[in-house]
Amino acid sequence: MDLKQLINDCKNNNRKAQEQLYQLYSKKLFGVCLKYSRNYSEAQDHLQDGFIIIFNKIEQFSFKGSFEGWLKRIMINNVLQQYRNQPFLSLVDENIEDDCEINLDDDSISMEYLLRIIQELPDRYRLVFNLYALDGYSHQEIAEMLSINIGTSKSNLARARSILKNKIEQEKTEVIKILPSAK
Amino acid sequence: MTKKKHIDHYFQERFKNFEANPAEETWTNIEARLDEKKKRRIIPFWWKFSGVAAVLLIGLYSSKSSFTAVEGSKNPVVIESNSQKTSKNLNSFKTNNASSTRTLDVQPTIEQNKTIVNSNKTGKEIEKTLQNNTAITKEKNNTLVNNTRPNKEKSAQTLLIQSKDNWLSTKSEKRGYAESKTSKVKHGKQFHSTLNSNASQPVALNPTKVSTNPTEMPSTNLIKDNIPPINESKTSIGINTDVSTDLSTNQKIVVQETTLNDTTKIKGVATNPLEELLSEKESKTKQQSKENSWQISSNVAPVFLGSVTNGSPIDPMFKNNAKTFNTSMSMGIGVSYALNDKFTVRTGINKMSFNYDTKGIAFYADLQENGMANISPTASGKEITVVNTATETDNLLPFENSFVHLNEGYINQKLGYYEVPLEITYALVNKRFGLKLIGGVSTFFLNENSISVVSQNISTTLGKANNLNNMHFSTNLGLGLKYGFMKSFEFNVEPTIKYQLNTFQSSAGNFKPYVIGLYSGVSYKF
Repeated sequence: MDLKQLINDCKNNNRKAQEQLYQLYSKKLFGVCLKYSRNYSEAQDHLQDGFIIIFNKIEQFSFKGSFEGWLKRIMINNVLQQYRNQPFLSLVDENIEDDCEINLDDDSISMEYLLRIIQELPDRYRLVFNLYALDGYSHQEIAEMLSINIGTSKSNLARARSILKNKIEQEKTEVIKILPSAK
Repeated sequence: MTKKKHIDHYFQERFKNFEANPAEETWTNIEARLDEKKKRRIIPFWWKFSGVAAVLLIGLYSSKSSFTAVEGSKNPVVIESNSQKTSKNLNSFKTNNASSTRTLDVQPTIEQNKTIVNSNKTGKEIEKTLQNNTAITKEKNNTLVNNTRPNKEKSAQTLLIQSKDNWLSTKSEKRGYAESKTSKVKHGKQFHSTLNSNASQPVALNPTKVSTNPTEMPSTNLIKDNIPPINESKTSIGINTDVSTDLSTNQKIVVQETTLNDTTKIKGVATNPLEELLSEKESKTKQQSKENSWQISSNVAPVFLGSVTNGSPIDPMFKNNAKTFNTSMSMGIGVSYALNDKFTVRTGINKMSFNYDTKGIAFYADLQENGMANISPTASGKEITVVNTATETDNLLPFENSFVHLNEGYINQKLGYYEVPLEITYALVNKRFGLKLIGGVSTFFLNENSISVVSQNISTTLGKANNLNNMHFSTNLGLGLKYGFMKSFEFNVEPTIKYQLNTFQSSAGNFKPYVIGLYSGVSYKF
């Protein structure tokens, strides 16, 4: 089915079309939610809320730019909204290691673990890391989206990186312990 | 094969095509919410009109039976909320499953997609077994209930104890079961209610079946409500042991960690979608109730007419005659707007009529036109002469007495008005039961005006009073009592006195009427 037709049907509140749209994009968008949320069930909630917003706002989609990008933006904004009221950790300048390189075999660490350590990050770190590292927003944009200043965004990112790095190193040693041959 | 990589790039690559299957029920949840929004738009629209219609109907036919019928309809609502609760339980139960099974699959080297598919499958399986479990326990409970039927009083108590135990056991579980707090409180309440009802049973020596059955019902419900957490705990224990046997020691630690995580996740389930919906709904209805500043009401009132002074608007000669004021009716509808918690302005339209009799008169047909001061007589009315029996009987010539048949009786004056009140009320008490002061003015528009003479066997119209103002005013003072039933309905009783200011153009004999009405009716807030 033509995507444009599908979107237009959704604009007309056609339930079948809405379901089809959901089936098309739910996996992708659930991935987004998982990254940005604290855990599975919150991600699940955010997905539901996000889709409600999408179906309510789809009328405003004017076929400019990618539809998937539009969906993703709505989903991200929705999640950001949910965490907007969280107390914001503004950091005193710490000496955070600049070294962000890691030595890794590509597949030695599972997606589950990676997802989990992202989810375990404090809310603001997680959001900044996701926006910057995974979804390619600039610090300027992040600062605007979260209504913080650029410096805070940067320091949050650095903090997130160092936490993630430590956890990966930790996991790596454990994996190596279990599977010495993987060296 | 290890490479040095920037951590951002590493994550970027790994999450490049990251997708995950959301829980199966997600779409149905979304659909339900979409449906609900649609309904939300439609229901209040009809609801308002049905409310208006109900007010009018109840106002017109206000009788005891209609009230009981309305209050009876409360029950189904309670049942609905129960079913919602159970569905909520079920739902959170499912999400629990989903999250707990996920911990099973946290094994390295398996791709995300696969694991999620797996978890779905295992989730289903576990759900099935769980369902079986619940089915079994349900059966057990049923048998329990069946057993208990023969000797009801004792068994009801044992049931209670049982369910209490269940409850305690769920309490002792430290699992952050979704909506545990609220449900516990609710259960607790239910306990009390059932306890009370049981306590009252022994007093009634022969409790009938009808009265005992309802008390059994809530307790069985209770047990059913309590089943999910227990079963769940059992199965989750099962999962843990399975996992620990499957995995090596190091992994066990990881798994335990994740299960710990999951408990926190389950705590997170407190923001369960359905529950959110509910709370959303609640907050909205709360908001709505705040916004319900409009109220429409109907009222019926017996109206008592009186006059502060003696006098007659018909003719000065009846000034000192005795007058009896008849009780009549007023009915109308009104609309009010609450300015704030205390003050309300209201208006409306009432149809009101009242009449009074001037006693001690006699009348007879006369060829002579012998009208009275303030009456514009009708054609037939012209030929009737009315005399005051106290003073005027002697005026008749003796021969006239022989052929004039003198009818002794009274003059009835009837006045009908459309009343438009404009009143302010001030609430002294504004709860379910309320008390308020009412003050204001009314404008009266004359629509009925007739004077007739009535004797034992004759009643004839004399004509119309010609000294009535087409429009006059009254000052109103009243006390309002209200009692709220259901959500937006109120029953009102408002004794009000309406002092008439300028009913008559030339107030013959200083006749100053007032009206006391006992306005009662039903109002609907929207």
